[in-house]
Amino acid sequence: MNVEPHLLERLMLDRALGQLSEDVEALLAAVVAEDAGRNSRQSELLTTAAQAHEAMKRRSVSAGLELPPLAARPRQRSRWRAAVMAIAMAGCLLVGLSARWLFPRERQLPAPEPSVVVVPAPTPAMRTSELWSLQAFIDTTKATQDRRKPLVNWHSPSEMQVREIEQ
Amino acid sequence: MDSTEIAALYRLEAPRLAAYVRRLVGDRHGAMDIVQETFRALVEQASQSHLQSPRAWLYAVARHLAAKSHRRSRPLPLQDDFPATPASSEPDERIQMMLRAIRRLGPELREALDLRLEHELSYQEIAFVLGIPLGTVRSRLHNAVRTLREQLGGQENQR
Repeated sequence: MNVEPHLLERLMLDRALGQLSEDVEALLAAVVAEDAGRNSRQSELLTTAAQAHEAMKRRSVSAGLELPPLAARPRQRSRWRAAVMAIAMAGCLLVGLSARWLFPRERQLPAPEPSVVVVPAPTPAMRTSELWSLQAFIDTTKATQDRRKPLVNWHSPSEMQVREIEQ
Repeated sequence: MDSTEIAALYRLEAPRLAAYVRRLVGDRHGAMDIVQETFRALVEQASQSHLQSPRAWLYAVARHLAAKSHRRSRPLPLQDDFPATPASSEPDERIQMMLRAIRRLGPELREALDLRLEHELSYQEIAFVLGIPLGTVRSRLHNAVRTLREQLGGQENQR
């Protein structure tokens, strides 16, 4: 029977890995038996897979694992971790309190009274015009508007409080 | 799946699953925790829906939990956990050579081979566990066996 070599190789690998159905395996065995080279290759692959299987079975990892009964104490590890976390947090708190006790902060001084600086309001310009003239009216209006400007009042104790005094 | 079946599955599969997870996380206690967590999840899942392959499901969940415990997004490579000498009292030279050759395989090939030969999962189950296409599983396993054969053939020729 003429079978493509790469297809035959794949089938031989599947057989070595134990993944062929009985029918296909019998068919493959018949094809392989026709040719000495194929037979040799099949033997190599079968031997390799068998040795790998045996080597993996000999690993002694599972021997040291004694598992507890199912769901007997499933969260034991988590509880242990939570306990470690709680102890660590308590330790941090203790260190913080100790540091506070060993190095107390200096007493805070009372905040200084806000200083008040008196800034004289700008005096109206000297009247050069007649008392009842138009220019006198304009000057008076302008001076009144200047006096109505909002007061500058800083509430921060570190800043100065500026108050305008009407004259 | 009732509690009796789950208990039987636990007795049968838990040691092998623990061995697999231990190779993933490299920690005995961590592996046991993950196995317990996996079976707890199986108890919850089995009451809600029918599982086609409980074994594959167990391995997939255990693998996911192992990856989560290590906070890795990439698949975990199997760790090199082979004993210095096999458990057998008369170490076979061929087996020693094979162990060395398996160690030299890439992690992806080694994990696929491990799931197939030691844990005896089918191609479909391995694909489910690793979250890869069936063809990729087949290709990895073929490559693994071919590579082992080449390495052993080369070593035998050198001797």
